[in-house]
Amino acid sequence: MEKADVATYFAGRFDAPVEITGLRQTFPGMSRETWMVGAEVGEGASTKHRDLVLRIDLPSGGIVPVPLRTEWEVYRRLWPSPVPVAEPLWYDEGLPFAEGRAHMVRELVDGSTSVPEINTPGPEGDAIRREIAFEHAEKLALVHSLDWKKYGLDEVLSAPRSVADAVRDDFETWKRIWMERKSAPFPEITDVLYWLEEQIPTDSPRISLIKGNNGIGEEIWRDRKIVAMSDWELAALGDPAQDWAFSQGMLSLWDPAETLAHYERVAGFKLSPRTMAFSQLFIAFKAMVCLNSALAGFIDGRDRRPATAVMGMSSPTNMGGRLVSLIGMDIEDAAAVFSPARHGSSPYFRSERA
Amino acid sequence: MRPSASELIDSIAEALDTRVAPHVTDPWAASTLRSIRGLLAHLSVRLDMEIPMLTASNADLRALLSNARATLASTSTSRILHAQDLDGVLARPWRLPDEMPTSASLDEENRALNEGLEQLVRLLHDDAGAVDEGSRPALLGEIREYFGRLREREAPLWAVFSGPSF
Repeated sequence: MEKADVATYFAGRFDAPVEITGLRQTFPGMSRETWMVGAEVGEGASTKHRDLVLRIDLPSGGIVPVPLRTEWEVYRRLWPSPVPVAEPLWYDEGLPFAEGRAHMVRELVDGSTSVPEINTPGPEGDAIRREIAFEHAEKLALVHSLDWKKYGLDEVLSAPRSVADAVRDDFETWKRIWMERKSAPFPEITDVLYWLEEQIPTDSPRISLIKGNNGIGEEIWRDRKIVAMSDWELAALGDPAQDWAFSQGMLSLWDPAETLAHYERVAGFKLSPRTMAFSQLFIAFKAMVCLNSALAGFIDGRDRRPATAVMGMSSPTNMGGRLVSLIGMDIEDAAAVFSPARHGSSPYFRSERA
Repeated sequence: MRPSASELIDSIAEALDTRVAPHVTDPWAASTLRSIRGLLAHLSVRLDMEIPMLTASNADLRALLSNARATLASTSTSRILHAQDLDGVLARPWRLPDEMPTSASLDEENRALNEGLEQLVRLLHDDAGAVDEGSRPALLGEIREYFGRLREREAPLWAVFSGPSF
């Protein structure tokens, strides 16, 4: 990505001269390219500085099997909602810019994806970690209790047939994606899927907007508050427990029982222990689907990044191998074996089973 | 030929670790280097073990599918149809009798045998009447034992990816 190309393209969009003063690809961010753009828009006294974010599909289309257009539509619908997101500006594809790849542009929200003070030792650090865990829980509760019909999210995301089918419908979707996109026959994973399917819970509290990957590293934080929720590439309508399974360590910041109780108070509903357990294994499966299906782009030459090969080749063995060892277990026991660190003090995994 | 391919790969990896990595400060470059190191370690192991590993896995799969075929064929008409599907997978010649197996031909054979096994797994789960009550758990048990042997056989290939992948 060259500054001159971005300047020419943005000048057309803003209908004004544009000088690009900063252009940097964020790290990590393997699923799609995200570029931070500093731009001077206009000329003379009317020149304004704009900090923007340019998100572009990979040449192979991306690692997640959800089109960028869907992520854009989610942003567009969330912008007027209470859920904090950066203002989406435009989406386009098939242009001379970026080799025709799908892309979207949004405003940059001042803040950081990391919270450095999280590592503060002692009681002072404990208070900070509690504050951050609760802030995250409150924002997830906001997402999960959102009236998604009011904001038209069911126009772009498939809604489950019923609350009882919230997990099953999502499972069927990802199973189909796996069958269509897996890089080779994996009879071991097929066997796991039959077992996992038998465990699908039906006691979801409600159908919620779910964000997908979330937590520190994903959201924009400022003064220990989430000021924008970013990366909606795996947004869906389903059971809210899935977001906790994909919260990437947020439940280990503070006592998980307290954190989840706080979440439930704010959200106004309770999560199901079995669905919490199931979601951990389901998220592992989803991650494997994303990573392995990206191998097609490596093999046909569209995405020759070495990391694509590493993750695509190893994920079915590493994740699939761990999942297959759980066949026949009770789902809550299986989740405890799969992620033992998560279960020590959580009320969602009964201690007498551990 | 000396140095062997593995020795050459290992020397490249060592040079990257000692002479290149310490000087890389850009996070994307450092990330790419970590992935390259993972792939080199994988190649170093895979180069020597791929042909014997695929040969052993294919023989293991053939034995498993042949046994399943015999169990399915001994029951009813619909089961014989399934047995005939497996016959096709098992009977296909993959190389001339005096031809040395290559990793490509062994991999192609492995893929076809795995497709056969995948069909068998589906059949055992989807069609309760495909085999009698006692044979189904026995066959699934044999299949899962095969999965265990496969994991053990392939473990050195994947153990090298235990660090960050990017």
